[in-house]
Amino acid sequence: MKKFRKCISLIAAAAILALLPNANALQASAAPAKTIYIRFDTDLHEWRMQVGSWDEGDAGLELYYLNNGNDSQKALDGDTLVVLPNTPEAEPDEDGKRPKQETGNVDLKVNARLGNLTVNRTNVVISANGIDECHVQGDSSAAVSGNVTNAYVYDNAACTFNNNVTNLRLIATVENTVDTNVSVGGTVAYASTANGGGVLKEYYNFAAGSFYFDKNSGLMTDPSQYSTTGSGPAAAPQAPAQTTAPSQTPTQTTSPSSSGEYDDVPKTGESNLLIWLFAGMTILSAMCAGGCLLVRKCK
Amino acid sequence: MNNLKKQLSILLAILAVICLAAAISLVIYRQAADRRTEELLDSMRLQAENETESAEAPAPSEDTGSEAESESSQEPPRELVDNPYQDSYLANEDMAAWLKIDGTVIDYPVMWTPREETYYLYRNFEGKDDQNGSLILDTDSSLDPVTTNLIIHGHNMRSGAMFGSLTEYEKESYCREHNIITLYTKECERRYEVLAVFRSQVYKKTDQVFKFYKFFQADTQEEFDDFYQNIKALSLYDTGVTAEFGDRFITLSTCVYHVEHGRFVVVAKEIEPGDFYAQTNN
Repeated sequence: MKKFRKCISLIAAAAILALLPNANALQASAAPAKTIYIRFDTDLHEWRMQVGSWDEGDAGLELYYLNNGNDSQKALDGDTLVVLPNTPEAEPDEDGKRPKQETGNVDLKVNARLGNLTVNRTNVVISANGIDECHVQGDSSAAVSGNVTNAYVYDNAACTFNNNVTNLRLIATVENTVDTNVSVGGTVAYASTANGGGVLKEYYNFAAGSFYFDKNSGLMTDPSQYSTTGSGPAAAPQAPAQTTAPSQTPTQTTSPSSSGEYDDVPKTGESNLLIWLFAGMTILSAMCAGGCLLVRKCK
Repeated sequence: MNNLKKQLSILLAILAVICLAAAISLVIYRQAADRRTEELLDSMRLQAENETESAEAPAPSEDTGSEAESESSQEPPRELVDNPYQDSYLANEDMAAWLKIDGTVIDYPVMWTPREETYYLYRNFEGKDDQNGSLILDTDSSLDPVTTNLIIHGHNMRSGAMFGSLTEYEKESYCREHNIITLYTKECERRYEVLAVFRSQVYKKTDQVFKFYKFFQADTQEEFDDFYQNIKALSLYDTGVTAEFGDRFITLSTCVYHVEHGRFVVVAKEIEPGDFYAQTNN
């Protein structure tokens, strides 16, 4: 009898799930992406981390927790990692420029695919399972291991990407000319230089290990290793795609995870209303029959 | 307790009966609508066949000769024939063309409603509710003046109706046998040869990728190259057909489910036109 009841309960649960709109989209809700700040604490003379925001009065956590803390502490897929300048930050000089900080490199190994990495006026060596958005601000240097979907290198930053970069943008916000030093060990599907006036140059499909941009000489890559024709930035590969060769063909799929509206194109799929109605009828009939049987047995 | 169970069983039974009744009603309603639409389309097809047969008869047409000569003095005069679908055009001014692929079930009117693109998406030729809907010409496409690319959307019906059989083009052999697509417009019979067959999808507005459904007009070689290279690269197989700047295309698109918002696409290049039609005053 107990088994029978259990069976009925299971059928009822299945029916409720099946009849719920978008039931097929039911899934365990993941924790929302968080922001982890990393900063060199001059008092403690070591790199520390804090989650959510940087509180000057809080000593934060050791970097050990970046991979070994609980879920609210450690870096998870989709999280944002911001590497901040020293605390307290050096005062700007007469020209308004802050002296470059001498804190040494912070060496980070993150066991997650980061949604965003921002390096702000620091020197970072980082290894991750991949990065969706990577911003290397001026006065910074970074060595990044892991495929990057969108990389932005600003002003006089120096950056080495050891793996593939889908879209690489070198941006001058202070000067008119781009004076970054950037090299890429993997492929680059799309690269552009830009200043406040807009995009200056665009390049496509760099062969693996061929991209090198010098702040004095500009793009140093042999022209045979890339193309100057294409159709704008490439689509993001599906994470954690490990593309190894430049693709001349357009990407057919994009990551479904990010939100955003789709282009307005008529929907030409067939309605499933009839299938749902029949499924509902079958399940309800089964439940009803089960209920009747139960009543009879109880009698 | 037993009473509660009994009541619950009765409630479930009522719900099941409601579901069943709704499903059966829907099936009956849809079948009736399908039958009505199919009868209507059959009559339109028959009319067109009769028109074609009478046009092929040896007696000279009243409309031939003078109009063609006055249209272009440089080109040799072209015999104008009556449009086989002229009655359909008269019946509904939203009809932009008639699409036909010999040897397939694709033999339908194409509706064009710039005021509301999807008006006929779930309506038949008469504007009545119909799950199959009608084929619709994208409102960014135009037949007068004709744009470089005409995009036609149609439902992928399990019954095979509308573009339900379009995915057959995944087979190269099927494509070889049905490589000519004919579009009967008000002015002439446009013929197209299949150029590329591929799966794609509707992308997000922010996605910077090749979007087949955004190509309507190529005014420069670059615009053409971008479209042409992309569709050739995406094509599931080489059709052996090539195109160059200045060519015109037709794109047939329907939903598929290999990815979210997936689309199955057949692109064909315009080749030599067939008959030119005498204009009717409507």
